[in-house]
Amino acid sequence: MSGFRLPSGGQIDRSRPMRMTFDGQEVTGFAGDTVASALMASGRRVLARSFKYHRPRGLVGVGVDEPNALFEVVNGATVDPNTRATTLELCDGLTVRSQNRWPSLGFDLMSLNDWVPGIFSAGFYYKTFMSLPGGWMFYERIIRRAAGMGQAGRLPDPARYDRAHLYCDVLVVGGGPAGLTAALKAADDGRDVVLVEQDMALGGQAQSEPNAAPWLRDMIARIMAHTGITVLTRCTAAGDYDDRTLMLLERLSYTPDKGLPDLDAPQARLWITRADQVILATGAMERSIVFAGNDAPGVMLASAAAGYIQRYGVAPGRRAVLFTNNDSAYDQISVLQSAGIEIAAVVDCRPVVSGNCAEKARGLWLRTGHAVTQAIGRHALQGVRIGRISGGVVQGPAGYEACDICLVSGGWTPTIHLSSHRGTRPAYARDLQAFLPGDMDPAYRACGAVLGHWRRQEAINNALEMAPTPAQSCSIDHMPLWEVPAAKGAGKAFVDFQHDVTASDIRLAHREGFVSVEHMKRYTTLGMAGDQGKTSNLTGLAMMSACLGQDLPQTGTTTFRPPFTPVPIGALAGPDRGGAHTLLRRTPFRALDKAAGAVFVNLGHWQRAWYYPRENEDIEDAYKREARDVRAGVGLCDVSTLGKIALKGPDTAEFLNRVYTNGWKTLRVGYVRYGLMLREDGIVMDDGTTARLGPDEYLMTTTSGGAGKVMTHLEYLLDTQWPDLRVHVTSVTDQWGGVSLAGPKSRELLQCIVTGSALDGTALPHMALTHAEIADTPVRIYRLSFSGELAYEIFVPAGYAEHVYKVIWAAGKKFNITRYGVESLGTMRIEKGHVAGGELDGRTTIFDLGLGAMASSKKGYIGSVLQHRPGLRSVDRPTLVGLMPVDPMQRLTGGTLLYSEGAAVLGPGEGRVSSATWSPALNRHIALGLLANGPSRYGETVVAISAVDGTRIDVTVTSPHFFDPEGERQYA
Amino acid sequence: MRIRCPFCGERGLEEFSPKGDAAPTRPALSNKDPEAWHSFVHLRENPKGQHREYFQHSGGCRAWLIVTRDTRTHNILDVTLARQEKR
Repeated sequence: MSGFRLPSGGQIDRSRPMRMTFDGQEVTGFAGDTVASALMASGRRVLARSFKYHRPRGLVGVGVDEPNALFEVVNGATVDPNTRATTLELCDGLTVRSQNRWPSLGFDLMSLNDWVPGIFSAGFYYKTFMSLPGGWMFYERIIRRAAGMGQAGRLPDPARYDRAHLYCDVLVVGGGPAGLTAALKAADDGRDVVLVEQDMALGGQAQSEPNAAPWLRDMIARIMAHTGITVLTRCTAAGDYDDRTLMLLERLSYTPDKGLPDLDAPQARLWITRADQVILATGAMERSIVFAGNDAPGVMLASAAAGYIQRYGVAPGRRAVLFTNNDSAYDQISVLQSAGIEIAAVVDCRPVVSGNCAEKARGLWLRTGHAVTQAIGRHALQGVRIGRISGGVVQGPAGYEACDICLVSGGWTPTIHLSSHRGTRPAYARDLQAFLPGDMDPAYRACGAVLGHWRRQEAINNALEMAPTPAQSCSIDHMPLWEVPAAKGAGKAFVDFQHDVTASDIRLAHREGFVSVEHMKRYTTLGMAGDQGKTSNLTGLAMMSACLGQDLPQTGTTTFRPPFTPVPIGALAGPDRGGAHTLLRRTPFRALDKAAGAVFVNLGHWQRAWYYPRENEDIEDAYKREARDVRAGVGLCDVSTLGKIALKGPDTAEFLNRVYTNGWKTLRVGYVRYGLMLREDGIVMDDGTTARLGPDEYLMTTTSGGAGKVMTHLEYLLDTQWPDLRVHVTSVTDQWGGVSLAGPKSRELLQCIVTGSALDGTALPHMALTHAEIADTPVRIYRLSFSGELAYEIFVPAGYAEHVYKVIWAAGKKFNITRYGVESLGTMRIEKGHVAGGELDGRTTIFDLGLGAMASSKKGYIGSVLQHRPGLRSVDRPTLVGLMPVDPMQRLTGGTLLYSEGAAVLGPGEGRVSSATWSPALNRHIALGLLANGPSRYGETVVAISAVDGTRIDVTVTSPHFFDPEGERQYA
Repeated sequence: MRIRCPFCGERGLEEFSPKGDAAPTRPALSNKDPEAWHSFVHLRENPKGQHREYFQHSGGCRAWLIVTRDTRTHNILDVTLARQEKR
């Protein structure tokens, strides 16, 4: 037992006890505690096992910089791994467990890793396992299990995450002395201010400072009362992006008041914040000093110890050795003493300290010119060795001092992360031995400790300046000391606790030739853990500089990227998950189709009727029946998903002439033409029909999936390329419902219900359109066929679509009308050899599709030149063919590769199967495909081989027009 | 990033779709020289600094814009209507 609860003090509410479970044992604390402070108060020291060596670890810090105490938070079936105990608030019913240990924290078998010399040094995995038989791929699985962090839950995250936008004049990041001052000043100037603080309370370091409480209380009261300031606590500014857009993550659960997450309420809120001005008052973090055994539970930062005492009323131990290279640690002496902690020694590496410091250490054993050379104790600190140090070298033998805590201060590091998220390089301040925010965008300013103004009054004064400037000199006397060289056999000295990177790893990387800090980082993994090296980056950089014999900024700087602290993926996704992830479009016939028992399929954004099973039918039975019934009688299919674009203006024909490959100047009013559109590079983009409704009025249809692309393409051309063309385009896809009525009896059926227009072959020939009425509703009827049957496409204003559908359906009863879905639609178009998605796959040219006759040579159009590039016109390019399995019962699948008989099965083959189906009309399996030299190979047998399962099927090459090649049925 | 659409005002980047370099000039449709078309379709400068690019306000008024952006900072220096500029 070491840490303990003090009888009084702290900002905790002792009238509100809170209970949690840690590794199955109950731990109690109070509202206002963190899990870390509650565990410290319970006397527990070992809270974690380290990443690689499974060494026992305890608390080092009191805030976001904590590298060791990471837990899995368990809530029902969900597990949030790698949660920092120092920022997780204690609340009733909380369940946390330690990570990366087996079988338990106290006895971890994997700690054997720690006793094997040389194991897990920098590059160990690769050097060792790459050359072993079986290699990395095999060993990686085992290694990943042994070396690791917490395990995420395997179930979908049931938590809800909110997303909100926030706009303000001034965003102040950090609620310490500088941030509070800056926020109040900006608000007093009439600006709309948002102040964000990641902690549960405002005050920053001032919360740990013994005499700051009255000032802090007053400041907080003024800020809370100010109408111009919105305060967001428990809210981390996680990332800074272009145009002063900051990502804030606000925690809404795991607080003493709100308790465990309620699945009906958001667990966290992601604020997308835009501010005219951003003030970074992000403060500074204390850094440690590297020495042998410095990871023993009980070695912690001096400011953290003061924080636990002042904020939570918990003492970290009973007998302390204070080890410092600077004046700030002396401020903690009175705090420690107030908690009744005995200070065994104050060890300062500086040969001389100021009178002020000597005064603060009065009555204590002050050992100047000395350093802690080694921490003794594995599961808990037993004591430290203290030796004389001069010029960074330990002189002579070291003495021993018993203690249960060793409190280290290696100086302060400004929290500059946000200032460099957008790529601003930090500026090195030699006198401060630290990087400061670099030359930021003028809308940003920093103030306070992040600029090196360490002390509270300095930070406040700095925040009050019009344009706060960085500290010119260090207000805290210090002597650089990053590392106390370890004596031989003294054990490992850690730089990065979270990734178990030691001082000797860094030197090993240097010996092996890693001179760039970026390579050193990746080789040793220094600073690459979840804490992104908050406590280790600068130390590692300084040690690398020492190896290279150069100045720190010459070696490099650290690069910070968002997020500052981890952000749950769920919070980034926010409400955009499940069905809300993307839009879902439904046609006007959805309700009717549903009532008819349709099975739906999502194609692109559209939900479409796939097939209409009758009792006991599966998809195979259903689509075959539907296709048969259409060809035998009449069928009705929803084609509302076709993209529809209205074009208007005197230059429309010219415009169509430029975007389609075929000619449009001769299209008469009342007629429809099929067209193919190419991309700028000559590849086929989309196909569809365009009808001329009036002299200057056209209606284009596109494929269902290509509608958005084509619309954007047309708008781009009209706005940026040919603004002189007098054409206006409007998307009207959703304004019209459409059905295809197909089959030999379709005309007869329509004639029963259509008024206002004749429908016979002379009045309405193939590729003509008419305006008519069905049950008093105006409709447009196109005589068009995709199925190859006599067929009509009927377009109805969407609001009347259901009504017209019902009328058609009722009239169709006596013709034995059938509904058919996209599956049988696909079957019939393959029987006809019409190209669709499988063929228009972004790789095919108009010639590949056998549609070269549509490529006009009389005009230029988009893609007209580049489609003739030699590679695209090569004779051996795969070209559209029909494919019939030699055994008609053998099923072909799209994506199967085609090879000549007897040819080596190598590479991509000579072509591919693009669309395959059972053909009810031919009573056999058929397919469309693209085959090299295709049209000259009709009658040849080739082999279709699946690269997935190796199936081989002999197929005969045929014309792609399997059924009614002369088109007698559609012209009927 | 924010883009000030001349019609709609300042809007978030998520409302816009980029198309890329606005510099290349389309050859006349009667031009049959593949090199001219190759250059127009495929060849692009990759400047460090100011870059004029097409963006469509696809989630808004659907106008095509020419946005001058500094590729180093993503600062947007100018936004104009393509239709106006190209006339």
